Amino acid sequence: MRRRDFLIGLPTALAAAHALPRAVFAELPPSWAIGFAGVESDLAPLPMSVQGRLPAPCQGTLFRNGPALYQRAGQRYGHWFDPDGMIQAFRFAADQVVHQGRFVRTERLLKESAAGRFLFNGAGSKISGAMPERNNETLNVANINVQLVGDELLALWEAGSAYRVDPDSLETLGVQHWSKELAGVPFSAHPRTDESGNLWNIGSASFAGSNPRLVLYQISAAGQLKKFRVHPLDFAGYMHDFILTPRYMIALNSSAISTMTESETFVGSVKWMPEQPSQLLVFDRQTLDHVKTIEVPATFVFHFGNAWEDQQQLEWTACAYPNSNFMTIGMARLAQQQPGPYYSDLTLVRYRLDLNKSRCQIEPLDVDLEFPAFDRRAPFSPQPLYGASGSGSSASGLATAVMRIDPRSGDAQRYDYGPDYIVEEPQLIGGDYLMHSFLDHRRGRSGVAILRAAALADGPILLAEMERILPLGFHGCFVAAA
Amino acid sequence: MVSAGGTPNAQNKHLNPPLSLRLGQAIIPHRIDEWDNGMKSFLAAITLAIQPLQLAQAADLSILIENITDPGGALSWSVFDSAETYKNDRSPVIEARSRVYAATTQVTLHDLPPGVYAVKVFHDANSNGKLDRNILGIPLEGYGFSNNKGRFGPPAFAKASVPLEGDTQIRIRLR
Ligand SMILES: [Fe+2]
Repeated sequence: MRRRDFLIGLPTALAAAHALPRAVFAELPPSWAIGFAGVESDLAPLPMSVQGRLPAPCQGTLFRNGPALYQRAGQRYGHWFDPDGMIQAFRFAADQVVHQGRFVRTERLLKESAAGRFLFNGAGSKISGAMPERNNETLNVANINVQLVGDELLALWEAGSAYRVDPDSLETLGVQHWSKELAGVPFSAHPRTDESGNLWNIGSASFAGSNPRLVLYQISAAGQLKKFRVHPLDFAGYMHDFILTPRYMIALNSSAISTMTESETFVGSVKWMPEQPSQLLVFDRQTLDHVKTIEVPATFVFHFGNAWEDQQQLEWTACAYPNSNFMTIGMARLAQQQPGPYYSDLTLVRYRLDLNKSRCQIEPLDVDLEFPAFDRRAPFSPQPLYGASGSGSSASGLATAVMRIDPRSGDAQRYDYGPDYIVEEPQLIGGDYLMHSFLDHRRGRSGVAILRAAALADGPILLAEMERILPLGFHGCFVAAA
Repeated sequence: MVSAGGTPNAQNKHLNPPLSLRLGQAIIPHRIDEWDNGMKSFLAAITLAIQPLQLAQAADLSILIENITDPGGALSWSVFDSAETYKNDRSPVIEARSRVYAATTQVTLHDLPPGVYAVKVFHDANSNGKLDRNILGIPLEGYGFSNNKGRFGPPAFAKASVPLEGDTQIRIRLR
């Protein structure tokens, strides 16, 4: 038995991985490891080389966020969740594409930058000589998502506040305060918009040990808090995203359960508990009252597609993992540029929930679609789902393709860039175009591709590339030119 | 409550009556820094101590409070001598406040009876008399415990307590 396989059987696999000497590749790290090298300073505007013609609806800016600052003073983070967030802007005009990157100036980044070293533990890695943190906000790295709300960007984390960022300069404008009592309260990285532009979100305080709670938010289209509610949770399952329907907010309390202690990181404290059914927590959008809890077999989900109602049934898609190994082991190995396996063995599934009968059917669609994207102008229509794909068969455990699938018929289309590429989250632009960033790790380039949504299999109609290598990131948004 | 010059107030009722402890004479020097406007040479003499019963082996507990990152306001601190009172945040043997002038503050508690003590301190930066918390109960202002243990909640008394047999110095790093 190889040692890396042996590690999997340990109950606290991440902690074990940290305690053992670092596993190394037999020879050089594979070329994709450059996606986890990180950057240490802001990236000045740089024109990219462009092939192809820019469709008019794609004039605008692709904003992305992701973990970027991996090391200070000889210490390196050991989990993909941890590095400080950097906003990448790819500005597409008729005659050029320009990239710029700027770190979000979180309270933590400013303190650690002044100290010249890491001061606090990450969500997934321990720092030697770490200082105790005041609260979850001390650890905020604002590195998961960036979304336009009103006329500002929000750089989103999931265990604390969002940070406001200026879309033109990428300068950090400060912490997003919804209200005094919500200071430092988790605001998750995947807010969703309804048919009238209202923003809805959850905040998961699963780190609060014996007293885990879920916060629900409604924010107006202009970015003002309309209402919020705090609900107790039966257990502290990891929750990253949620489902928005015309009448409900539905959170999935997963069976990856945090038991936060003094000695562990958040990720290190997460245990996969297959005997604990996961819970669909259904809340009424009008009142934010808890309506129902429906148990489903133990599952782990980062992301959901959109939801629609079909008579008495609520339907949606989810990128489901058989357990939390990708988060607790795979994401640490990737960040540490270690050999796999990475456990990115997800399957897109279709949920059909009969709310009256509290009955839920979950049907696998047999595709490994992650980073789901859909037409946000019709959030509650059944529609094709787009996403990144190929993680199940790639060496890095990360996507090499873009795909679309009709979750009702199963009809799918795909374009695979091959093993030299890693494909990041796509954005659907006006229903007609798909835009996504990528890393060409063999040639050492980062870039953005545009494909026609109706003809993905034809491949990109535009490629913008640069020799500047960006750290692999998580999520973002496309903002069309005014 | 104690301020420069030291005027005990209603909080004294929490002081342990059987020992007849009361706030008395002790000097707490405060270094002045940029948070203070124009009083560069000021040395505040704040007193906060416990006097009284001349106990045979009474000892001093000196506490250096570090990493006060927000300007102004007051440190509010409580000293407990049992797991029970510490856990319930009730009946501290000493409860007091001292103004904040600098990023560090030295406090000396005089003539404590030998025993085991745990200290909780928080920085009431906005001077509203309490440790501000959000709707989840998570502290928003600086705080610390003796021995600097605890994460996402106060450490147990056993982890926070220090034995006091002779004069003792401890450091609390506010977080
Ligand atoms: Fe996400």
